[in-house]
Amino acid sequence: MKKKVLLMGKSGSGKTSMRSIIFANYIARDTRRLGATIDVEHSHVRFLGNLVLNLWDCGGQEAFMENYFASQRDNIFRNVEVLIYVFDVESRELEKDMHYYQTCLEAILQNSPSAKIFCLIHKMDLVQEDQRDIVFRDREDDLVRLSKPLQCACFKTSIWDETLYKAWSSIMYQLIPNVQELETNLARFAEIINADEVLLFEKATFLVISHNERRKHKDIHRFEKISNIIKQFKLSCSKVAASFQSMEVRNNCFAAFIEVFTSNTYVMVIMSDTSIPSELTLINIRNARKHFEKLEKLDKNRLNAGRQWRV
Amino acid sequence: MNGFSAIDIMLNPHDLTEILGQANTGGVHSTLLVNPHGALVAFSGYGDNAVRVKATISSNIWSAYEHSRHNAIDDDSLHCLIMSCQTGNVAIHHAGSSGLLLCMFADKTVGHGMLKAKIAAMAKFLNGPLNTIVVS
Repeated sequence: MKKKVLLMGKSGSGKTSMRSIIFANYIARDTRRLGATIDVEHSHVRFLGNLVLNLWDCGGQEAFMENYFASQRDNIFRNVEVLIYVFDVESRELEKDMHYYQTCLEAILQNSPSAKIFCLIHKMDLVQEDQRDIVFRDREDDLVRLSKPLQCACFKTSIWDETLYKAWSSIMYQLIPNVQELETNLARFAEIINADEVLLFEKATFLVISHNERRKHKDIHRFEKISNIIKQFKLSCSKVAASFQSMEVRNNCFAAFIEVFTSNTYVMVIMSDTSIPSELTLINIRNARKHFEKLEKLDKNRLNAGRQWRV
Repeated sequence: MNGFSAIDIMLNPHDLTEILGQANTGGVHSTLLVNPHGALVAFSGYGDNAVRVKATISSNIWSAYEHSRHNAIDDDSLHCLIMSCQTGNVAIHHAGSSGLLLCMFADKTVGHGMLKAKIAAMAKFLNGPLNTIVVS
């Protein structure tokens, strides 16, 4: 099942770096070597096994952008599921940025009016910490206003912290076809095994695609923090040619289990009842695995069956 | 889609502990479930700690007898092991078909017959849920 995702924004705003970190296992430091993207870089990224993201990383230099809006307009803006527009927070040409953004929106409105729009205010690490919220809110207000009648979701991001994961997780979440079903099953799973919280990560990117919270937690940013931490750990494992499979973290307040789950996901289970032996939780995870694997297969078959009907 | 039937085949920790606890009367002071590798799966009891050590030792003893049965004439697999120790009696029994073991620890006051009856009853009761799960 192919979904087209456009990644657009001015030259040097950080699009290719983001893409490399989320999908190509770059660490933030590695992105320094990336040069300017020439024209459009197509990449097909597999996500969750049966979802293929057709990622169009569009070079942001003016010459290219003019081209997109003129001769390549229909080609680029047709059949778009998601538009991700990246703004460099430090840009000195706000007017121009907005102008290009609005031109994109016009093209979207004409060719893919039901596309979901995400605006990423990027490089937030360059803004002083106490200013970040204010700056972001300001930009967000402008963007929401300018995007009308289309709706956009805004995120502040930086490749140097977990905010990148939060934004991309939310974007990916929109693309998963059976997300409701996943959540219902996850809820049931969490209830039976007495877990405080259960998270589902996509295997390659470690983006959180679903979660169930049975016990309230104060830190609303924990998902992206965990994505970030585990992804880094996974990458350092691969540096020594080891593949990350599972982890158990335990202290006197909680036990956390990260295990390979289905062929496309990892699961994280948090238990605050430390009297429950680890092995019991592991047995439960193993048994739930079969069920979720079946869910994934069913979904795949459903998609394939749907495809056959198209002429 | 009726996919929930499969997901019900899991073990709820509280329920399991409660069930195991039902045996802890009249001298029986702890009941445990151990996996084939000696890891503790569930337990209910009072008295001294070192539950995990007991679990691993029990599992080891079982494995030792299980392996040596190949030399015996009788081809039946090991059902139940009852040990008389200095300060108490121990019974180990098959639980389900996936290799889990049920262990019961009791005072010297509990007769072997009673211990065997209790553990057999518990194992029979647990057979239902334990036969459907995958242990390793």
